[in-house]
Amino acid sequence: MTAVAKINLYSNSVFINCPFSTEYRPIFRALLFSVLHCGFWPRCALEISDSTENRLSKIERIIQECKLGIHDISFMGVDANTKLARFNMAFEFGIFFAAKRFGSGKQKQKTALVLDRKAYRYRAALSDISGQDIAIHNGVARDAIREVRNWLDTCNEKTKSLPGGEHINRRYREFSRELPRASKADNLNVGELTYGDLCRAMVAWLKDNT
Amino acid sequence: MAKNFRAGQSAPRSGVYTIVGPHGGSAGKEYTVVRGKPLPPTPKHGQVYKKVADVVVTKSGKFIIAPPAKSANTVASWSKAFSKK
Repeated sequence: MTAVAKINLYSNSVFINCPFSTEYRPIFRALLFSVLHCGFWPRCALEISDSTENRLSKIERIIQECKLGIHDISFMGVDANTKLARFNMAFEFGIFFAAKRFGSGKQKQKTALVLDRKAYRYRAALSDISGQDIAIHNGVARDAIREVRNWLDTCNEKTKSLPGGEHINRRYREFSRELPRASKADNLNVGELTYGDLCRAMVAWLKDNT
Repeated sequence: MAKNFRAGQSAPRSGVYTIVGPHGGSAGKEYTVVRGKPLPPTPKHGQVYKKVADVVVTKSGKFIIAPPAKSANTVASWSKAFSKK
């Protein structure tokens, strides 16, 4: 281990733009674990609960601080309760793209992974990005982990390859099996873990098992 | 407000430390430094370090940048919880 090492925090920071609904939770957790396991720094709007900063400013600041972005546009449907579509993901995806297009300096280096549930579906809903390659996770955590790992490997500035998708997936299953018991030991309900709880649990598990 | 640290001073916690100028502007250089190890020399006089993120060192010596934490449950308490059989 090198006690002191150069790092570029911007190049290692990954903005995660995805739904925070219960339904999407398995994919969200898998994305987080995959990013952490690959040695990158996940960032998302859930990380700060500062009421003095408005939500959009918070998102803009995080986007500005991240070279990398994962944008999951798989929840394009109509909300069952409101009968309206949610535009947050597409909007934040737009801010990220605009930062790259109109920003200066390191903002120009931004790189994004766009994820969806099914191939080519986005062409009907977001045809402006038709010319771009997007990755498909089929609504399955295992596929999301693989796609994130493969993409991060292309962004990896280290000389060594990242661990394989199947390996990370196996480790994620191990972590998920141990999480309920550890939550209980920490007086927490596994179903009510906040983003902060979850990140720290993942970091702690990776620290002792890597 | 984040505390400033001088070059040569021991890192109080393992973390990512960034070099800032006398007026607080970032010099764009960052280091991961393990707790107790000295912060490297700065390129210019008057520059200091600020910790911008916590870092956890794994058993195999890899660095994991810990996401910002403000709740009571720390990484250490989770580590203890996972180790209970």
